[in-house]
Amino acid sequence: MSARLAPVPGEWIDRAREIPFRFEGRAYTGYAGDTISTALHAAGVRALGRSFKYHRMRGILSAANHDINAMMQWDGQPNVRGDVTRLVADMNLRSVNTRGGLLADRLSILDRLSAFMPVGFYYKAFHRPKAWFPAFEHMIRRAAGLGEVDVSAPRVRTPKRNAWCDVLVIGAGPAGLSAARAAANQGARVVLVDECQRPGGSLTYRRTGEGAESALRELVAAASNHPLIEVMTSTTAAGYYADHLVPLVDETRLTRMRARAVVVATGSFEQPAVFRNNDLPGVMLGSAAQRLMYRYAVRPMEQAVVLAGNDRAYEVALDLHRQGILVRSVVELRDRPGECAARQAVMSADIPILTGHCIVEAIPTARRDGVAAVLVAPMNADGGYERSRTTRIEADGIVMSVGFAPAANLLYQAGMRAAWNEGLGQFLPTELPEGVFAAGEVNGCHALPSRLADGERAGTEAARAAGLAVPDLTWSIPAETERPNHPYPIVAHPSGKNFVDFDEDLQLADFVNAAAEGFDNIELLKRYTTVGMGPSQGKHSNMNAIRILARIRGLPIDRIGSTTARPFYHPVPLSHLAGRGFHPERTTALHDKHVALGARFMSAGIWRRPEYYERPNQTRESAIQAEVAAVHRQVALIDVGTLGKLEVYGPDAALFLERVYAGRFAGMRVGTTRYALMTDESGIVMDDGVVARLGEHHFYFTTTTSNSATIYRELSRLNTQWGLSVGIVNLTGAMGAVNLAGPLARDVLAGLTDADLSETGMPFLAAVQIPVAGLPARVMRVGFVGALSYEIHVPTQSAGALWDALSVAGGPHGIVPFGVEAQRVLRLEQGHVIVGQDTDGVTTPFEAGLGFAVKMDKPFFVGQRSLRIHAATPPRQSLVGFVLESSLGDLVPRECHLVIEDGQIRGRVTSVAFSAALGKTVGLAFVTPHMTEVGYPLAIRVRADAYAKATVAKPPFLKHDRVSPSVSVSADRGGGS
Amino acid sequence: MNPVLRASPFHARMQSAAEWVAIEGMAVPLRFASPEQELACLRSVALSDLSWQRRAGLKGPRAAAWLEARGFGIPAAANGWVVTDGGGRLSRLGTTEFLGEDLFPEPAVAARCAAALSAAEDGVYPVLRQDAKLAVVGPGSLDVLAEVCAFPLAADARDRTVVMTDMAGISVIVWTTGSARLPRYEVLCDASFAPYLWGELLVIAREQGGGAVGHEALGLPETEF
Repeated sequence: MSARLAPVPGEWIDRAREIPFRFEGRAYTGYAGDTISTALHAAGVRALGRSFKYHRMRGILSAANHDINAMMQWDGQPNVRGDVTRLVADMNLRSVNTRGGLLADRLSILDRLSAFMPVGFYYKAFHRPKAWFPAFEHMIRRAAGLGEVDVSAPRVRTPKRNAWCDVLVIGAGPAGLSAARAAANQGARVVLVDECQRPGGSLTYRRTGEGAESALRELVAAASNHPLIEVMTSTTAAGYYADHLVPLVDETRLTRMRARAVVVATGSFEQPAVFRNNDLPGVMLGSAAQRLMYRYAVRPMEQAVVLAGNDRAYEVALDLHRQGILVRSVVELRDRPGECAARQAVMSADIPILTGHCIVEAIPTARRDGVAAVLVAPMNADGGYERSRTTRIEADGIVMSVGFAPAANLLYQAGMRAAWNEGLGQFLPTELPEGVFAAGEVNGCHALPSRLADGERAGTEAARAAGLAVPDLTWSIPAETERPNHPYPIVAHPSGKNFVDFDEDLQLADFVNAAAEGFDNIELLKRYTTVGMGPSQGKHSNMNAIRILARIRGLPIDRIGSTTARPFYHPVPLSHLAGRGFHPERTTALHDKHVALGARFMSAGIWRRPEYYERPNQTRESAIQAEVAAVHRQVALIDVGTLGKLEVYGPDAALFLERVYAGRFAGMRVGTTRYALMTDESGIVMDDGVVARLGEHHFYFTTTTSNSATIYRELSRLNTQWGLSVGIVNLTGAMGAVNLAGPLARDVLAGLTDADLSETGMPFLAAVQIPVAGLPARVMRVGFVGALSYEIHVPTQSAGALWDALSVAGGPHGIVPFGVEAQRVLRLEQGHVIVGQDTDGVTTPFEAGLGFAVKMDKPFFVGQRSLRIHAATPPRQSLVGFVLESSLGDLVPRECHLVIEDGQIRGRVTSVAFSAALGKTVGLAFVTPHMTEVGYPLAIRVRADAYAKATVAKPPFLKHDRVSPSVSVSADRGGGS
Repeated sequence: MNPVLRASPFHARMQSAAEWVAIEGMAVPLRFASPEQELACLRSVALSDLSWQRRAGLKGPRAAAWLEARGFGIPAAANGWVVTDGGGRLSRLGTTEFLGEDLFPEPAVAARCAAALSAAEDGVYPVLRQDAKLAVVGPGSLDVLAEVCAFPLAADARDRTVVMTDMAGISVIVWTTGSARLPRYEVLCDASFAPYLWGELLVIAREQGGGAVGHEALGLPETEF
């Protein structure tokens, strides 16, 4: 039977466009503009889903985005909210949380077993015997949860965008519309958001009195036509974050809205009454019935009982009456309701009013899929009912209008302080953060004139807070004439099933039991009972939970308080949260060269670097060893453009470096380089690199790959602090760099420059600015990889040309590219330390064997004072070289393997690699100071029960002939990491 | 410098270019598709490489005086820019740091600064600029940039503001240079981030019906739109 009403003025459906869809395997038709729930209700389907715990049938409760028992599986999309999701042609829907379908749900047996499943039962029941816990867990997990995730669903990169406005108004009801208009009239750029399809809020379904229809037309037209107002409908303000950042969630994207001021005009959530079987399909809120009738032209029921706890109930009763629904009775909870026009009209319509009565029970239909009748009784003095005076009223629906809870979640998240107002029966803001304003029902204004005035006030003040010149105005907000909230619309019943929380199937008795067990603080009660922790986040249950606890403890409500509200205010699809994200990645100017050469890439910080170059018929290991061999025997080329590259100019440049590095630089000759070590103020190794003096007041230096930005920031900070006459330039991205290494490196380079590359013209550690292949280059003789090598730096845009020229010039010499892995082997053969790998956050230079780079006799450098203390203290650990004496097949030591002695941890491996040139595995390890002597045996644990034997050895492990035999390999260092 | 020796930081991302042209020693896509298709992109949102433009930076306590002594008008305050003779733009990145750009293939402020400041002088230091630079052009520009940038960029060039902000997680400098009729934003970033940024922007631009256009399309008169 169709429950569609004759056309209703202002209805949201388009009767000219029929929409076919399927639900639980049956075909239905709705209209464009219908939601899933309204289309089904119109088609006579009232049971839309099953409850979470007891699998009871449920239907429309709020029709306002909070009907979590009417959630659908739409193909691969779980938990589609039927009450607000617009109908789409050929939707194929089924109810979530059933076993065997909505009407034949096998788990409905749980409803009959509910006496054995009170709150907390599984905390107490399923932990013994311990061995059975996995089985219990499996069973509970299968029974719990809503919807099914389709793991094969395609990834959706939901966009996230940023947006800005002067005033963000949340809620497009009368207060929000009024606020938006007022703010825009002051010149503010306003964004007005509302979760509904259309603006208007309650004006779109409250049609009784107060000039609602004209107000709706006027306000919506003003918002739509105002050039400074952008209206965003079907959009949820999902949370509030610092600095007025509000995520706005619509169907396709997430908008990070940053506003100068925010008006929260979110209205209120109508609250259910608590009585036995108050969850049956056909029992709904008054506002839900009005939404059905006036937005979707759907008849909520045929014969109604209206439960009244406020004057608004009489408006609802009249609306039902006007739409042809037989209102069997208004059951008035109050003994002395106030006189209002709607109540007079109800009496004039001969609708019976049972004053001082309550609904004892909704009597279910045989299939428990709806209401068959309503049992009512007079209330007695202690808040119960007179059991001997119950009356049965035949009706197929109950409409509850007993009160509201302010939708203040966003305000709480923003830092609002609130206090209980007994006159209104709700919490009201007492203190709002700067730039945040409350308006309308959330601010205690319920009558239309006061909501409009309050909105105008909030909008105007928000415009001022947004920085607009707004004249001082005084505001007169009409006082409220009724108490919209009943103090305790809750009726105990000996047989229970009087639900407080529809998400979690919590009954009144559950709260009584929880308090009896000691969970009588609102936060504890929440966690024990899980009230408010379901998908609706307590929008319909928190207020009644507070009332119940207050009554149990005999305390006023303001002593009970409320629970903490955290983002998100409303569930946000994971697709929105996991949408498009940004993961910056750096590549050098030579990246496409490496790709063409078959590089396998690895991450070094956020850089992508060639790990090694794949070669036909070679494994990773053999390819790396071939690259190492090329450096040893001929010539090879590595991209070191990832090194941090900084430049310091100015008359105080040398002094500046003396202060930031532990070494000595003032006396460096122009055209030379020097290893440089940086420590922090506690004397811990922070970074290292090579400093080249290119002029009397001009230094160029490198940092480790991952530290360039950090070092640049730190040097800039120090420069500001010290006020020296220097300029610091970060050239990391502006300069490309390669290292040409190997015994034939000089021959290759000589073909590209006229400069004197002889040992006299360019000795080890020299730095020159010369043209290379016609490019302006800075060339440094360094020794990080041991062999004869030149680090060549050119402007980034010319790096490709340099690489090509070197490759061509090196062709006859058998030049090959080498990657990071080969470089690590080569530097390890030299025993060179990589800061960050062979050091950690507590390593001093003395412990790492870098004392040669620390000049304690300087007047000052960062970390010097701490290093004096470290120098006077026995070291905690020392970095030593080691040579592996035996391995256990594939079980070779790796970085971070532990050094064990006498069953105690004595150190750890920091670097280890096999050197084909040596025919041995060599490495570096931190050990306790008594183990540092050359030849000391080390036991390295490679598995729980297996140890590799090694002995301490003094690096370098491999000596290179750099053509300059007088240079000491172990004392002079060059090159970077 | 040899005309073939400069490579755009975006080069690896532009392999689909249909035709190339050498500008200022750098290979630049002349067009990616037919003129009609590129015009369609511009009517939505288009990306184009501007890395070929010559740039020169200078910083130091005497940088402002140095520029004024050579006849350059400088922005009065940090984060402003002025147009210079010969089709250049001089931006003030901080109290003591400036960036000159030659916006056309003719020498202007960048070339003059680079020539005059080949080595540091007292209180004036050259800053090598090898940045990547791209243009985001078309009515959908702000929509694309709003997905990657949390700073409210101006809709037109009236303010002449240099914005130093983050875009898709990296540091950028942004100039608003277009008009209400044809919005245009010029985005400069470290060259090592260029392929990453281009890739992210192009994905978003394509979702909005736009794409990459070559140098030729950027020269179309505004009336075409």
